Amino acid sequence: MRRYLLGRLLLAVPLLLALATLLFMLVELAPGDPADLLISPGMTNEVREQVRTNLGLDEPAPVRYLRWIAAAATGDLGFSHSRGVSVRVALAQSLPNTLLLTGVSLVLAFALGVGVGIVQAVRQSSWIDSVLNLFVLTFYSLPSFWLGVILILVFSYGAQSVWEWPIHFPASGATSVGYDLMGPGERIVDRVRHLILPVGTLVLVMGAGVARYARSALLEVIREDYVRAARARGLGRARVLFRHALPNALLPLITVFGLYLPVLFSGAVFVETVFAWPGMGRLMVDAVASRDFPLVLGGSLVFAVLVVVGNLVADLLYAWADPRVRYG
Amino acid sequence: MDSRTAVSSDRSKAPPLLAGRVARWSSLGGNRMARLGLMGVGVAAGLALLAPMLAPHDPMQTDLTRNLLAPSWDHLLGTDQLGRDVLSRLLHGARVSLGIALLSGTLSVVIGVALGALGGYLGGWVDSVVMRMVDVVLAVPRLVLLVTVIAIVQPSVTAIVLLLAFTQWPAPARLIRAEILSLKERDFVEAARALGYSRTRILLRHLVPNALSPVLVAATLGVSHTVILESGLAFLGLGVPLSWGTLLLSGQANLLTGAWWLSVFPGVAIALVAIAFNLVGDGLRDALDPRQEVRL
Repeated sequence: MRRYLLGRLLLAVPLLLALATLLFMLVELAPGDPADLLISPGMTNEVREQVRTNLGLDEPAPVRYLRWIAAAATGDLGFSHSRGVSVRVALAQSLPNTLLLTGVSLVLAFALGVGVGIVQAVRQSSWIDSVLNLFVLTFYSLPSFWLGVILILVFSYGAQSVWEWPIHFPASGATSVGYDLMGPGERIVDRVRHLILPVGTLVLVMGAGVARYARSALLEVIREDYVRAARARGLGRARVLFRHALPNALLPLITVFGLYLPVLFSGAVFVETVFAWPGMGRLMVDAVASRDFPLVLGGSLVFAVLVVVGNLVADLLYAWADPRVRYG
Repeated sequence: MDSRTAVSSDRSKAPPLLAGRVARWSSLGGNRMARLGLMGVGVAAGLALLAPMLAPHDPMQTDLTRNLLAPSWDHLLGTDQLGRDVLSRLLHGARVSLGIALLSGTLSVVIGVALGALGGYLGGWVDSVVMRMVDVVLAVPRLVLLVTVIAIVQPSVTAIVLLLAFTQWPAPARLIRAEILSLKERDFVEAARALGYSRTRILLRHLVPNALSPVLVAATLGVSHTVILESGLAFLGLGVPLSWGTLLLSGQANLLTGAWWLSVFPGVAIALVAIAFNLVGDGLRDALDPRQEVRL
């Protein structure tokens, strides 16, 4: 097990390095000089050169690359001119919001998806299966950003201004304006109210994907001989399902969890944009729009690290849950 | 000689050849949902191709005296903030959104099959290089890479097609590699080798055609994913004019004016196309990999 872990960790290092290099080259290809953004038209060329020297832009690309890698390895990702703070601070401010949004969504999406998948597999080809299939397929095919817009249209705008329902949800942000003045209880309520629509969007879209997977995984396992053998030994359906079939069907779902992280972060980018959620996704979109390349690089790197670490965790979980991987 | 008649043991059988597969695809006809999906794809393609004839108005014609009109007989799906007809824009947008998805999907399959098949068949360093490339592309969240690069190179149809294909090819590459790894140990390949066929011929004529089915399923499902992704990029402001995502973006800008039709209809179009391709993909998978009906 320890060797396995070590091997996986060692593989992750060159991967991240290759990725960092790729991203750096991409940004190098970008037209325009970052210094131009800091200079007003009236300034002389000397000032311009001074700015470039201060930023280290007068050095050749390979030197800047090595500097950037060396600094990034120590956690220094440079300065974000659009936010006016260091990249590390900008990322540290938005990362918790993204982790909150994606973490809650991930747990709920898997719970919902696996639940639906179980019901469908057990009642295969019944009307319940067909109806659920229709829902699953529809949500699986919906763009998350559109679903978010529709949820805002109905549960925020419509509920508040058109139909005047007693309950409506905020359309944007992670907290209300007066959050700092609220008591602890009110703060929790405010947080939850802001989470409901974005989390709902992600859970519906992602849960549908999980349900599709859980259903087919379970159907595959149900055909196995050991399941039939268990039934033949006179064990009840429920016992066979929950003790024999389900654990084996859910094993590969651990890997799906790892594969789902990029999907989750993509979803977060859209959902954060729609709901003006102050997280990493929105930070990246803003950074790209304002050509704040240190922030773009840093943000991409953090996303990549999250994905690599997530896959690593999924692999380790799998090895822990399934001895065949460890010894095979 | 057909390898299937030559040897009797089950393991030695070559998988049914492409002709047999096509015959089995006709069992799509037995699958109502898949047929529905196929019809949907056909209708969408037809509407896209005939858009210039079908569109009631010029999609670019602005008329500020008639902006943000709710759906009516004149404008079946309403007008946008510049008075352009939403239905006409949707029809013309189908060419952009479907065209990009189909082009990039085809390109990614070509790249992925070529690299994955070579890696799986040759093994050794070729395989290592291909798989490390796959790892790197898969490690970076696709959307983040797309957003970054498109922002740098500026959105255009060519750039978006190339980038979507470049970030998509690992999927077909991994699928075909896995298939070929297991197929190349089969006896019919051994037989082909014994007949003195070249490695190129064995790879192109014997292995690749037999390994294509999972790729086809994934590529079909991938089209629906790409339609969503491309409109998502456009929704973030990184799209080309008339893409369904670009229409959605203008919808969101007018959300709080109550102009719901600007947001609802483009999204419905995206969802319907995505559902249609997913139905066809699911049907293909069921047809190519039939699961026995079993009950617990």
